[in-house]
Amino acid sequence: MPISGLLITLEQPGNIREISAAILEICDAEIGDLEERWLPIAVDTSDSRTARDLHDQLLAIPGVGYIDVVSVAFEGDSPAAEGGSPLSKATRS
Amino acid sequence: MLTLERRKFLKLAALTAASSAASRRAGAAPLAANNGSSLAGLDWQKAPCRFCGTGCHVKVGIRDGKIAAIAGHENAEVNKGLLCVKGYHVGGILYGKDRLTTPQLRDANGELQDITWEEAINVIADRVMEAPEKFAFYGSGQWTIPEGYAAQTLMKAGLSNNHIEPNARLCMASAVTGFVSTYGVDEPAGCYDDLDHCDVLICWGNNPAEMHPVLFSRVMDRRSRGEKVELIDIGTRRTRTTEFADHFMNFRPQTDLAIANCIARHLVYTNTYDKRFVEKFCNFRADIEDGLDLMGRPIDFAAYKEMLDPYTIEYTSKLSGLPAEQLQHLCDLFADPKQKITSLWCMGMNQHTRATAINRLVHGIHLLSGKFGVPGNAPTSLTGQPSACGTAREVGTLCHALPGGLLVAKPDHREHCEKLWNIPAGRINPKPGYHTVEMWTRFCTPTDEGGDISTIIVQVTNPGQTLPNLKKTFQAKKNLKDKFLIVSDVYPTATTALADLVLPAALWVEKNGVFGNSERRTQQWFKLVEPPGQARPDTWMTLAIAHRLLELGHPGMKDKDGNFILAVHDEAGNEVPVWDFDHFYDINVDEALFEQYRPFTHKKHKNVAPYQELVKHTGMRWPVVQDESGEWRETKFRFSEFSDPFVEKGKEIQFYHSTTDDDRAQIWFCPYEPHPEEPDDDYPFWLCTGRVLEHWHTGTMTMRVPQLANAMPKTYCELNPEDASELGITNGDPIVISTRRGDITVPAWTNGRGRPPRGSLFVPFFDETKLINELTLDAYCPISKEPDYKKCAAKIRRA
Ligand code: SF4
Repeated sequence: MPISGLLITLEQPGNIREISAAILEICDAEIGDLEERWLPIAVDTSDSRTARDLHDQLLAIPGVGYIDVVSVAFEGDSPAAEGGSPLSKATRS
Repeated sequence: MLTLERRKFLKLAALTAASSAASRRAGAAPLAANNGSSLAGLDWQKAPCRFCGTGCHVKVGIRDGKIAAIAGHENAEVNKGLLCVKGYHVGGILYGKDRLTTPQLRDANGELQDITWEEAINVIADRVMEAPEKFAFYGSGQWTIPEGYAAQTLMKAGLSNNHIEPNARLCMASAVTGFVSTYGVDEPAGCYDDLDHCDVLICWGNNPAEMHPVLFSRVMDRRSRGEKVELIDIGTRRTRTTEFADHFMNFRPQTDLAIANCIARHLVYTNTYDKRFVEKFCNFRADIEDGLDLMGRPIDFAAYKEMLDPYTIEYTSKLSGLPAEQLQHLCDLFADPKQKITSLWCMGMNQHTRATAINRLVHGIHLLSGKFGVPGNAPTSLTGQPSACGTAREVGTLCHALPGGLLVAKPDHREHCEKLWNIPAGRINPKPGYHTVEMWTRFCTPTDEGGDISTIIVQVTNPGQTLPNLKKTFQAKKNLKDKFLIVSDVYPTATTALADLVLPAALWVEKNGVFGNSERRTQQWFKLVEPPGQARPDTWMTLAIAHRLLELGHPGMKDKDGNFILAVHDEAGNEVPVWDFDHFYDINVDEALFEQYRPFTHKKHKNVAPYQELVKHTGMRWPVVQDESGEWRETKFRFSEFSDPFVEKGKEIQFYHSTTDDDRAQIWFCPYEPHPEEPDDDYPFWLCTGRVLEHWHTGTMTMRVPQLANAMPKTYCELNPEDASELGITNGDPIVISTRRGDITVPAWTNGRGRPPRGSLFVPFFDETKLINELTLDAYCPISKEPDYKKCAAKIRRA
């Protein structure tokens, strides 16, 4: 599962404490220094939660405006599905 | 598995990368260690993202021959180090466990059996030799430029056969006809920089927050800095873009034509149009009296004014369902010379039975209001595929086109291309081939009933899922024993399911490549990892087929001097036998083919950069020309003197490929017309189809990424909660959707993302177990021949 660097754009620059607390409640993130409205974080999604779920949950935190992906490392882990698409058998021939 | 220490280290590196991106956004100097490149032991190389037409550039980190990390390329102007959630998974698409790894031929029992590449190429060449005129090539906007150029050369220069199409016919053809009939030449004049300068961003049936997220983030970033950017979402359903919009203008499907005319009418009737711009740079045009064609007929301003007359705010409001105040607001924005407006559109305007018309009209209101040619003022179409512009439009892999924006129907264009290809005069067939829907319909029609396409080769696309009205245009092939379908792909798909011959293809950084994105930016990358098994690049497949045809004696495979038409030479001028896979990588075939293609781009001033310049950059926007110092310079704003090297001094704006040969663009009038299949008593709902954030197109790649497949495993039907309750449908209930072409059963989603208005349904098309395109309409724009996937009449019931 990936370890990713995300850039969170805050709606307002002020409420960093509550937002950081909300992020840490959702995931085990490393939170960097706020630069104006931009908050860098690193998350390890080695738990069962999907990266996409996490993305949605972070987006739902009040005060979070937008999230961009900066980097993702998955070395040592398979970045792909175990058995390919669950649909592929249906179309094999 | 990674050790705890390594995970900690990777997390620290990820935080460093994100911190660096935060510094860049805040305008500070980035931290010394940049975006992920600090990860030790990885070999970092550049490549464009494999997914959408935004064309973000990524850095690919390789360890032990596998992709181990992806990062946004911090020097890329498109994405400035950032990626969307799909770019985040771009590395994973290579490693699905069900990659196709061996050529397979279907036997008499209908089973696919492994064969050798040599056998596969022989089978294909024999089919072509049997009836070259009944052979068709179907590719896509995911073809690399050299792949498309090789296919184009084989077909048009070699076989004198114009039955070649990219799937871009299904998504971008209407943008092409809109640009060509307005400016005389395809592709946007502006670029993404417009997003950094506009005061108003209008999304016409477009959802960039989910479909082109990095571009959308660029606008959101401006808002975060306190800049005012008014976002207007003109759409038929709410999307994630709507959540950020200042105004959501929810119009009745098809009435966008009337809305655009209403704006034009307001500008003309209140005398608020930009007279200077219009008088200096524009003509007026309308459809011919008895039908529709690409070039129409000239009209004068008085006639134009009269045609617009019915489109008052009151009339348009009644037709479109938009409140008069919203229409007035749109009109006022275009009438205000101080507002810089950028319009964005994609499939909402292009997949439309009057798609060319709505494209022309949006260009028209920009021209009429003078909102053109200045950073921030631009009508810009976006593309869904990474090289819809580069390969489909620029290489001209459409059935009527030649490379560089030229046309098979024009004698001087044919002559020009015959010279560049060094083929005998008259070799290029002057008659356009079959467009996509026609090609597949003929393939699916019995030979003795006029089905005169007998063999199709498909590369890099999945028509078994994307063609409209699939039962007629694709699945009917099943019962036609004399038809032969060849499919090159990376995974099993709905198309390989019916294939007679399956070819395993190399994907993305498993091969060299060049893409062209939505803003005329050409991007190059090198092969970074090995493909699995016997998977090979599509370019090689085409070269091998062409060379086998040469061996079999097809005369078209030789140029005027008797040389192979797709010959590749080394620096000493010796031909390299690249059709033999053992020698394919003896030379950079991509570079050789790209340099053969490059001169084709000059006639229409679409000059792409030399390959070696592209190697140095994260993409360059054409036209790229050398300045006096020898430096290659890209062009941000076409037709504008301050930016475009082809505009003559003192002209300010020059549409140098004007269809009226007077350097002017055409402002079109096209009337509103009802949709050919409006909802009625039997089928009371509008059905709209489209993409979702998690999946890219048919899900062939993204369904192999567990995070994406788990997040969105199956398709669904979004409907309005009030409609649902009236029909006794609750969230999650299986419902049957029916159209005049068939029905499918999917779960209902009443509180989903899109929240369609009453009377409308939305179904994503990524799910290959639920082919919504069995239900969609195969009616198309008569000019662009692009079908309408956004509108048809449907009914629903609880299953
Ligand atoms: S916006 Fe498009 S090109 Fe950019 S990262 Fe996302 S999918 Fe890739």
